[in-house]
Amino acid sequence: MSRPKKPRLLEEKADTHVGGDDNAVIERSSATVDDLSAEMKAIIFGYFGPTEIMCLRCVCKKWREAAKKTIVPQAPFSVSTIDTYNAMRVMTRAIPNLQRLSILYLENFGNIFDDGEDPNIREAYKTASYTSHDIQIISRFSKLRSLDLFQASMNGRYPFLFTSFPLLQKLGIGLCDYLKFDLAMSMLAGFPLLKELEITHSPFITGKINSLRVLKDTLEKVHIESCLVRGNFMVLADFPHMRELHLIDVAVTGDVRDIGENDFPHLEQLSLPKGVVGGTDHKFLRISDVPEVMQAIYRLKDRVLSYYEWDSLWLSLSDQSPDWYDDCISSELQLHPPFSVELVQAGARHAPWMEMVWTSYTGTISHSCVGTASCEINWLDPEPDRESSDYENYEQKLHQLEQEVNFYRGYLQPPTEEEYYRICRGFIDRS
Amino acid sequence: MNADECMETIKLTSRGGDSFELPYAAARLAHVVRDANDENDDGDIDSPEDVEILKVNSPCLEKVVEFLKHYHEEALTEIKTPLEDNTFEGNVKQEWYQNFLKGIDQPMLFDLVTAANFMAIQPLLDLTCLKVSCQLMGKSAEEIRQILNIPKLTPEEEETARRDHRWIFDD
Repeated sequence: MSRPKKPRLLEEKADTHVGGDDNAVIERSSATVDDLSAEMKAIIFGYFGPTEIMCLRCVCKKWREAAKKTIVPQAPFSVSTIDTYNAMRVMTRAIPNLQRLSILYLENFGNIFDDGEDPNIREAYKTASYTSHDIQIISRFSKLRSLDLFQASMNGRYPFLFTSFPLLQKLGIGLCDYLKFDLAMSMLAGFPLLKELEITHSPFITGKINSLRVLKDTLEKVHIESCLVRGNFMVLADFPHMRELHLIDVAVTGDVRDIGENDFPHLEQLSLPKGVVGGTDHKFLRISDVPEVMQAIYRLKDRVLSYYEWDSLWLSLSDQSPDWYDDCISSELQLHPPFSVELVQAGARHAPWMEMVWTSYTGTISHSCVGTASCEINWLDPEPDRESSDYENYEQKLHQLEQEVNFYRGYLQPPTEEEYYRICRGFIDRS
Repeated sequence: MNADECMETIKLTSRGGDSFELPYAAARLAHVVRDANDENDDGDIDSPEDVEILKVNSPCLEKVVEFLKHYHEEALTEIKTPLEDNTFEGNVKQEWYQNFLKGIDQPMLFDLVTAANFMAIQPLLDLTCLKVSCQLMGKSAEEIRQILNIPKLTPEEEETARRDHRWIFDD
């Protein structure tokens, strides 16, 4: 048996309704948008971009109050001129709940942002006569979710950047020549919700990649390029949400062979620098490492959609390697030993059969002499089924690849030094 | 009992005394209904009770109940901001929700906004506020003042606005 139902009277709780405008003729509780409370106007304004909200707030004082409460949607707003800088200064008071901001260069020559702590002296001297503008005002946007500093005219350290935006989800810094900071756990801890971190071409940004560990549970995309960041990339291997990891032209080290099946569980994109064994443009010290590294890369390709540019992966032997040999005769002939390795593919893109080719170190030059100097192909995949729809493509590509194998025909790996000189001499005798 | 699976119906009663019946599982989208039924955070309730909504008049509550019932069958897809389009139809693709606000007059629209706010029905608030936003889109502050019969700015206010918004006035 259910209890008798007794209607319950709702008290006027949480009602934020604001009375009507004295000047408007109102017959009902809310006849126009102007009669709605500031909170409700703020929801309506929340569908507009920052510039439009700045226009709406011009209507009257009540609308200015509503604008102040509006959570501004993440539409782009960029500061790149004195006018937009001045607009931003007004916005810090008028629409403090801005969520997305890009700070770019100040367009007019002779304008910069205030120097930070410990500025680069030469740059500070060069810009001493410029008009400087307060950059710390952006710290009033305490609800920022996305902040980009791109080519921003800043010089030195700006600690407020790391303490003012607890809701930040995306931080991008690019081409900031004199912006200084050292990646440190204590600073990154100021962004407990950070999902995307992009730091590129900013030579005064330094530090160890280990510092990112403080963001382990939130980071989804990391792009660090041309900065002085160092450390082993494997410290990020257990980040549960990491989807894109791009480490390019940085002093990061490691070895792709260390990536286990359970590491980087959701990775979709990966770029590694040359300091990583198996990274872009890596130079091997030992030829004997090559097969294992190629196998590791091949396994990665299975689960990482883009491992930089798969089809342009091209790794070579360091000329500092004890395995390196070359002499003046072969140099003259431009018949270099096949000291580089390339992943090639026959059939449709992402088809599961691949090959490993040894090519001449200077493959392009050797074209003029003997065609390409490739070795035979080491296949990593079994041959596709003859019935498969892709078989024709495979055969075509295979034929093309076989034609390229010329000078080192019959070799599945680089010839020994002795064999190499013998082949060279044979070539001279024949011609 | 879990409120989400509650098959019982309740009545919502308007200011005018009219009652509208609907399943509790649909009505609980309105947080006032949850609160009135002491629904705890786990969504457990005893037996759902009727609720008087004294702030909302009959025609408006009828419309709200229509919304609640439909939402239970087909939820409103989240409206993404920043908006992709300047029209209501461009941002709300679901036909039922497009039609829901078609042809209603302005007082009803604002009653719905107020009711959605009072009854704490977030999707209805989002939908009705979007409709109002789309009506304001592309209009200047001056046009809005004229339409809404809001007094003009004083010369001083005008000057402040002009100074603050030089980049918008573009002069």
